Amino acid sequence: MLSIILKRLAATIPVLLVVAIVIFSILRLTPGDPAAIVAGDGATVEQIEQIRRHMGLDQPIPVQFYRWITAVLQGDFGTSLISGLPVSDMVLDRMGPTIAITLYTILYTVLISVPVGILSAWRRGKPVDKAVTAASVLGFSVPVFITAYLLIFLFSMVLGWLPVQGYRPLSDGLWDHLRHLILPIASLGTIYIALVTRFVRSSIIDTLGEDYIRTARAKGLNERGVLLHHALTNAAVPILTVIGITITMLIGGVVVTESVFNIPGLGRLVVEAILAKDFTIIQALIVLFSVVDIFVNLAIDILYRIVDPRIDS
Amino acid sequence: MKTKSRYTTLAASLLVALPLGLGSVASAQAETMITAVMQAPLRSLDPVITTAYVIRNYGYMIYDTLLSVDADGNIQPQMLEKWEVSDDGKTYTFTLRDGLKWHDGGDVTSADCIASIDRWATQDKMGQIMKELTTATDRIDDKTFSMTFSTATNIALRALSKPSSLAAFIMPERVARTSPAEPITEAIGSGPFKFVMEEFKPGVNALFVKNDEYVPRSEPASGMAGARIVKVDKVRWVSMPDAMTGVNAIKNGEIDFIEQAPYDLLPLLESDSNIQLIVSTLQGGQPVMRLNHLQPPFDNKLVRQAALAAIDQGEIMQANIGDAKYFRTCAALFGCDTRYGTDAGAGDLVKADAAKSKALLKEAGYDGTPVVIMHPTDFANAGGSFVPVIAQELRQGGFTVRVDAMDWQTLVTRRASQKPIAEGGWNIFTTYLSLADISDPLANYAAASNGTGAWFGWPEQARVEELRQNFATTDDDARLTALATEVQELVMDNVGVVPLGEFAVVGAARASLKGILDAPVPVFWNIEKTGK
Repeated sequence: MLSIILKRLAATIPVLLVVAIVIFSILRLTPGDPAAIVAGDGATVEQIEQIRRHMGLDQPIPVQFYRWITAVLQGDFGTSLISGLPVSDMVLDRMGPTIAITLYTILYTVLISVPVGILSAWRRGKPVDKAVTAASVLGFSVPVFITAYLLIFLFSMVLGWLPVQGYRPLSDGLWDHLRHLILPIASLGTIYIALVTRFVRSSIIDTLGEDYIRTARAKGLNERGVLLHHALTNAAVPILTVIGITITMLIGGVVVTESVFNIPGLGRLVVEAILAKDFTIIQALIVLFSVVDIFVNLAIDILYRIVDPRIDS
Repeated sequence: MKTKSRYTTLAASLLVALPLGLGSVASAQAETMITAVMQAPLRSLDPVITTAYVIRNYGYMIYDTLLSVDADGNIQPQMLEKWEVSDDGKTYTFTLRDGLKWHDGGDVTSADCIASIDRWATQDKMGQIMKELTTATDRIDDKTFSMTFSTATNIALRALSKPSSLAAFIMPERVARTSPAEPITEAIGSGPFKFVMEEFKPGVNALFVKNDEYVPRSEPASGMAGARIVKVDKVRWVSMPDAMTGVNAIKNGEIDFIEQAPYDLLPLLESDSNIQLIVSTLQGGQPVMRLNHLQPPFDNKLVRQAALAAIDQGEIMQANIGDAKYFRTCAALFGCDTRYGTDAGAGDLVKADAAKSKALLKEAGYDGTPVVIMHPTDFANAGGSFVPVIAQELRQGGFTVRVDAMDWQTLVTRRASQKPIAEGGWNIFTTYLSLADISDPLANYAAASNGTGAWFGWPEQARVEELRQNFATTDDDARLTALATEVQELVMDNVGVVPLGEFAVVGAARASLKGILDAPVPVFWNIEKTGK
């Protein structure tokens, strides 16, 4: 196991280098000039050029890349071209809401979708299965912002139970923290629950058709034991895969939810940075997202081996 | 059992890993805090390097100005106790009033003022004209300094009091010595609010607290002038990328103030008795269409005049704003109902005349080369909502038109290109200017006509520049009006810029906010919060 982890970690180095080169090049080749954005609407060409020189954007691209990559290797992601603040501080500020949303949404998704998916598979073709299938199709067909606005209308504007927007860290109190996240997580959860439920259902159905399940039943094992100890364990690999994909999608990919609920997470930061052509922030975030992707995949690989030791052999 | 224990440990680890203390966007929690959504997020802290309005607004929170303009348009002392003019009208001596202190405790001195004016004047267009006319700036003592000009002029009063686009904020000397190309990151001013740097999250959250050391003037607040008395403990600016969220939040009492409510959502606010709408023409804007004078076909004056004849302001403003309560057509380059507002020389500006446009194009020998309009689809007021109308009007006027859709940031980059269309250039872009920025020939940078030194589009008219110089060195009212009128006639004839009408800004506030001032800049002094 350790050798696998070390090999996978070693493989991340060339991946990150390629990511760094590609993102750096793409940003320089796309239209948009942070100096023009900083200068504002009334600036002259001369003033923009002056700011560009100060930002170092007048230098050849290879020189800019060399400066950036040597600083990154020393743990320095530089300062934001727009605000002048350290990129690492800005990213850390936005990480809290993103971690909270990701963890709670995954927890909520797994707690609902796994039992519902198992139930649906177990009662395949019955009314409960049809209801779950219909709800799943509805769940991933309705855009998240529609769900969000409907939830805001009902729970904030009509009932007044929950706030419309904003984020509170856990240090402000557990209830204040949670009540600001209930609606965003409920909105996001609708899609991911629908998705994971479908995966769980189809994986369990596939497994329930296997010979060893028939053998287990023939030996007199009850349905609970068949489902949880035989079917679910063997169906876990594809379920873990989809949960891993969900985590990577949630980190940095929920900008619509973050915008509708005014949550200052990484998704909003990356979009704001792209719109403002804040190169240093975009570069840092893409590298960060790549690292997260790599480690989530590594964690999923390790979990594969725990739930299915045959993979190791 | 072993598996259960492992899962329990995993769950506990996840909970421990929760974002303790990371990031926060608070909304109103105390009765004396105003939570406001400004028209754009605050991302940088240098009000001299950029003309972005939100940074100007930030400047008015924490900095002070030597002079300001009252509700009647008169120049009044702000940080100054007085100013004196020499008999020949060339030397102005400024004396600071007592009690001016920096937020970190030091006294404001004349050296701070001189350094601040110096940095600001390299960036601001009126400041640049003032600098050209300045022959000496002398520190007399800690509270007094003088400025001497090559000719009799009151430009110092006009330049140092104007609220837009770059206001002459006074900063500590050590900060003001920063190169104008290098953004300052400190936030030490002497204004009525202090900036809480620890709470600043660019693009998300900015917190200001009342400056208890600030000594307001004794005169009542009027426009940007008079007493700047802070009546709340804190003001927090939060950004909300989704306009609907802002509207829901103010209706729900989670925020207190929206600087610019979206016009299409106003019906939701108009019907709410807990909300007051603040219609401000002073903070309003003038959408403009800018033609590139360096590239064909608009390097030909007749083609430019054809474009002006093709435009119908009413249709454009209808698409831009919608509700006629909040816009009007206007033929005045310097704004309707302003001191220099006139329709002189405006001719076909307000109503479209397609036949005239076609005739002018024929006379110009226009060969049907497509004109490229940059369409900022993500910025409604700057053209997102009305560029398609302009395109159609130009087509009806005989032009072949190509609309290039893009985001605003791409537009601001591309408009700096003076190259031909095939090499990434452009023919037309649109934006809007704050009315405070267009009120006279010096403030209105769209009227400047000094060729490649001018604003994007680069019109060239030596006579306009001569008149603007004269405007800077004249203080006779009748003469100033005559000069402004001639500038308008010349700019309209040359189609230096095409004004597209005027709109009022509609803000929203909870009914509990009292004392909101009608000023060219949204200011937070004088406002009381009397409840939720």
